[in-house]
Amino acid sequence: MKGLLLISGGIDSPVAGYLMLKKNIELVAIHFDNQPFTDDKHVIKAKELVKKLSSISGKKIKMYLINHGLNQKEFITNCNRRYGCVLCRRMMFRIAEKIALKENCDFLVTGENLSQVASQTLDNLVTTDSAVEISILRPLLCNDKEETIKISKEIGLFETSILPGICCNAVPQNPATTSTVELLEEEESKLNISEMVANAVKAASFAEY
Amino acid sequence: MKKEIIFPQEGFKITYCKSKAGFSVKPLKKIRFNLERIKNKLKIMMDTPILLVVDREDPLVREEIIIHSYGEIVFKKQEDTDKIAKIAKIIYDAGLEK
Repeated sequence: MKGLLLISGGIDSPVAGYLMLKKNIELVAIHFDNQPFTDDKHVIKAKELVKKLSSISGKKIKMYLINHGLNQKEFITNCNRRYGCVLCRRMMFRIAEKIALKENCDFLVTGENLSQVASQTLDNLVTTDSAVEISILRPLLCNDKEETIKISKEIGLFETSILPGICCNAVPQNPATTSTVELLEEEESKLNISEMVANAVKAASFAEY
Repeated sequence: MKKEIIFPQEGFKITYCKSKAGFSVKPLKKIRFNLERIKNKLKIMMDTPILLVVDREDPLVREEIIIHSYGEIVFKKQEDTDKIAKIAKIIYDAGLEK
């Protein structure tokens, strides 16, 4: 089996990837670069973390890099600000689904953790899922953060994960903790979603680490 | 740096951004920038209704910074607080209705 790991450069997603590797799941990685709403440090960290996962598994890992900043601009300019993070995640999943199909991956893997942030409440996880058909595995869903940090430290990822990077400035001041599919589809109807996905996939770059 | 440096005359303070990866300038009271006026003054690389990203080739600012309409300015790389204050003053002068 093969999974496409959405890796951010933080603590959770690399640990999610490690847990999948432990189960002999082959991984491809994908990172969404939010520049210019953030800085370049997240891309650098994500690459470093993929290198570390690759060295743990003993196999090279292919990593895709997606320019997500232009999509963020579209959400900020055209949609209700409160739903920015959920719309952003639905877009990431759609793009990841296309890459997963291209790479023959069976599912997506994320480091999402129930209610850790506004976009990961149960409501918002459900509405995010509805954007794609591919299965989404969330190995850390009900972990306590401390459990995840413990694993991260044990496998030598923690110090890289906590290196500072500028927070995403596209995040709204009051993000919605609840949403419905109908409401999000109404927001997305203000945009050409399929064209945005196609453009992002077309512009994707990749490398093996 | 101390926790924050306050500039009462200019109406802002310099502090670390949330992740402590960079510096942030915040207004001392609730304000609203006129982003159109800032756009006329600086070279902008990304323009949205609620924030602007200044191009690093702008001759006045010379670095990529994020300007929020509610008065926060995020400096991605600059660590010199004197330079940050100087740039923030240019933006506050340009963006606030006099």
